[in-house]
Amino acid sequence: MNKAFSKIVLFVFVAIALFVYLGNSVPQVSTEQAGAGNLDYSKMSQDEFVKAGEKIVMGKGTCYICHTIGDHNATRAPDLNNVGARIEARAQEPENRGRLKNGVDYLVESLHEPSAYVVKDFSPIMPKIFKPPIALSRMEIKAVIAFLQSRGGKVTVTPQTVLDTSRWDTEIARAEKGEVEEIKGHPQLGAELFFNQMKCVACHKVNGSGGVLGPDLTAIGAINTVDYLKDSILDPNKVVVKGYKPNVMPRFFKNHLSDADLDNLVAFLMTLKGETH
Amino acid sequence: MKDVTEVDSGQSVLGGLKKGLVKIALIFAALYLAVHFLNRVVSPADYRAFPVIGSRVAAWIVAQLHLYFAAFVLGVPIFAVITEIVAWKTKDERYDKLAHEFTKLLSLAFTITAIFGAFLFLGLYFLYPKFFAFMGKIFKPTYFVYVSLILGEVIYAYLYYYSWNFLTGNYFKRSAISDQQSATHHKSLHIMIGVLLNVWGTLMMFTADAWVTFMMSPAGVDEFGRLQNMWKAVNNYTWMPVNIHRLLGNVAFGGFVAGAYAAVKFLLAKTEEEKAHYDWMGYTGNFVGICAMIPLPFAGYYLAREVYAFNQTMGVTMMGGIFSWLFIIQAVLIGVIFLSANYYFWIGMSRISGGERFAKHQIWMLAVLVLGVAIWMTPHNMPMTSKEMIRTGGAFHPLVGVFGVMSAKNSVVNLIILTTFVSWLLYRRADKIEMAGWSKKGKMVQSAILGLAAAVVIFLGVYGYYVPAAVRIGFSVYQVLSVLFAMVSVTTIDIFLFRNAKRLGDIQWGKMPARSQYALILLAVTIILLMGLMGYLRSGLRESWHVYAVMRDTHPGAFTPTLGFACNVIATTALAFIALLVFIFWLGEEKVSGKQGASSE
Repeated sequence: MNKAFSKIVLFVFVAIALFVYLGNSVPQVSTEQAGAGNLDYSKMSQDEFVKAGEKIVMGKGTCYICHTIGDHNATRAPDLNNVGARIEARAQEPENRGRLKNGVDYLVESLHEPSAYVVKDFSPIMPKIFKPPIALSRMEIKAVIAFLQSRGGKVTVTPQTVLDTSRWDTEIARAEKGEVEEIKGHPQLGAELFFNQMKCVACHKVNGSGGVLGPDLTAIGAINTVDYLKDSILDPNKVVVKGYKPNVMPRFFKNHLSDADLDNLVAFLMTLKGETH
Repeated sequence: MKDVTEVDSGQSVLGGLKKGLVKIALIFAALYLAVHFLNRVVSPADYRAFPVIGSRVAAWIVAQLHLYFAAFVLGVPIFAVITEIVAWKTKDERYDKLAHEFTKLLSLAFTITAIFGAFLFLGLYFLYPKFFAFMGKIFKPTYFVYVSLILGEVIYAYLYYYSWNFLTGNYFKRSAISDQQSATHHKSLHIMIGVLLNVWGTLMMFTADAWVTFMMSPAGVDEFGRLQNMWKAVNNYTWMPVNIHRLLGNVAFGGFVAGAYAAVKFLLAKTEEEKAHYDWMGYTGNFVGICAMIPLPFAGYYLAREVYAFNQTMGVTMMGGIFSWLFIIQAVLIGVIFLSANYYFWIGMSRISGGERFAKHQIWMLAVLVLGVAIWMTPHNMPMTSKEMIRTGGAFHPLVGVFGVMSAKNSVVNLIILTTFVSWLLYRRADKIEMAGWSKKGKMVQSAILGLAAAVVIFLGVYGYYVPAAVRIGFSVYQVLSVLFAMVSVTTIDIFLFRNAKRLGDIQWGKMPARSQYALILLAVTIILLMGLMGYLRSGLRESWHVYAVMRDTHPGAFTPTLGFACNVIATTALAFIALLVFIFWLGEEKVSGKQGASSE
């Protein structure tokens, strides 16, 4: 029986070993580690910036999944081989004129709102790449644009370039906020603090009612984090919103609000996601 | 030969139930104490490290082993109840003893499943506290449901096993009709317990599936992960497809593991009587496995469609991105399964008088299977740099890349399934000659249906190259329907065709060469590896997210590993599982020997 059983054991081992051999023989691809993407783009030369963009296109950006480079029979998404040569013409097409000023605008729109203009014979399947799951940062998007410009065109975008993303800034801010936050506290108790006890509404408008000494808070929960709001309450001069003066908001809240009160107030503020009037 | 059904007759039903409940209570108690202790000694953190192998691999191994055993304890009861129903209907006690023999293994298997489940809970709680806390916020009510289902499962499992002899009584030994009628009442009650055991097990699986599918295709939460609707979080895009896929997969798993067990026993058998018994058991296990295996590709396709519907990027990453090579490995494994299963049927015909008539069909069936598997495992997208892409003229190989697309692969999968069905059909007919007057016409109709189904599959496969993707995707539905129609209609005709057929002789159970048993063992090993591979796919598709597009994996060491690394881990867990399974089977045998020895003294 031992000999027969040994044969069976050997057979099982060989079968599994073949599986391991096959798995290790095919092309090995892995995504980079989470911390590896934190490059200092500001110190890069133009060539390094373009190369960084290429790495994003072939990696984190997952562009290669749909876009080919050099395949004239691409079916999923347009081929990118000479895209840099085409972008100015695309921006001048009748349906784009007026909305887009130049080729850079065209690329910016293609990456932030891909369905705004879809190349003929292709489907609107491209996602907004600043949003999860791809979630490229502003700098990474610039690097991608630089790479795309390099494919047959002149590279004008650098790490210092300020792109016009005004149409998507709110969405970008929400996407950048990204992570799941732990929000402690009770919004109803926070509302009581905001409107009655601390009277924040005396200086801050919410949904059209309140003062104007401080920023409108109607949409504050949509674009800011818990930590930012806590800092703003406890240390108002840490970040002063553009257009408002420092030393206007009282600095005594850190002495008057308990931890629980602060959590409740912030929980209420995080519920404010309306449009700013 | 050891008869496991003779033992345990001394155990009372209540005694058995008590044993099960005490075991699960001890596991829960140990878990509670461990959590309580950890809360006191560790400080808060988002992630904690596991020594040597790292948290990811530690959680991976424990999760995979838990899932292997879960598949076993869910698959075996399904197999057991099906076999018990066959026994009840045919009054063939062999099937009843087979079902009972396998149910015996459940006791220890359940304990091991629960232990690994406890380790998994502890691992996630301790190593990934931030993620665990987030999932708790979404799914806490389902945790109580799950615990209740565990208790129900334990009760029904032990009730099912320990009441077997009591409720079966003399059902198989009495010949008088009135006795049968009174015995039927108890047997049907026992079968009902078995069905409820499976319902409970299925509900447990559905509950756990909600958690893992939420991680893959979250719903019912806003973009910041705050719960908006619990039912939507449960019933997300991939929940029901995974439920169906896992249910069928568990049946196939249970059948093939039963077949492999029988194969090992056959190879170690000392008498012709033992060989005959285990040959029959192996055939039965394999048959159940194949029946579940056939619709599995359809269930997998449904799952893939829902992944695409949820998120195109995820879908394209799966089939055309970094996971595309995983599907080549999958194609190889499934190809091995279909080739082995067919090979087993063909060798099996050698033990049937009259089976040699159909040997001539094996050539073309083998050709279809080999060609089909070859096309199925043809790669399409290949990871390349932009320079390589320009040199190749694209992302695909100019010649074989043509076959590496879904139009070709869907078609060959359907042809492989049809061919396997024909193998089974010929096996079924091997020892019979039809006596029906309309047999010639009947067989012509069957051939026409099979030919038409194959023609539809091939036509739509070729036509799919010339239409847009959205249209091509719809073709697969018609391909599947034509194959299903062919299988159902041809089987129905066959049943009538071979009524009152002339038998050419008995099936000579046990007259099988050793290589046939290795085919059964290969089936079990392959499905174990396949399950591990698909588990890696499901988990890895999330890439750098704990919950896709909702909760990012911010662990400094987070990255999607290579396929080679994944296969190494899968192989390790598969070996560990097989070793533990052998231990369970061996322990079951030792218990039987011990009790039989004691009763004979």
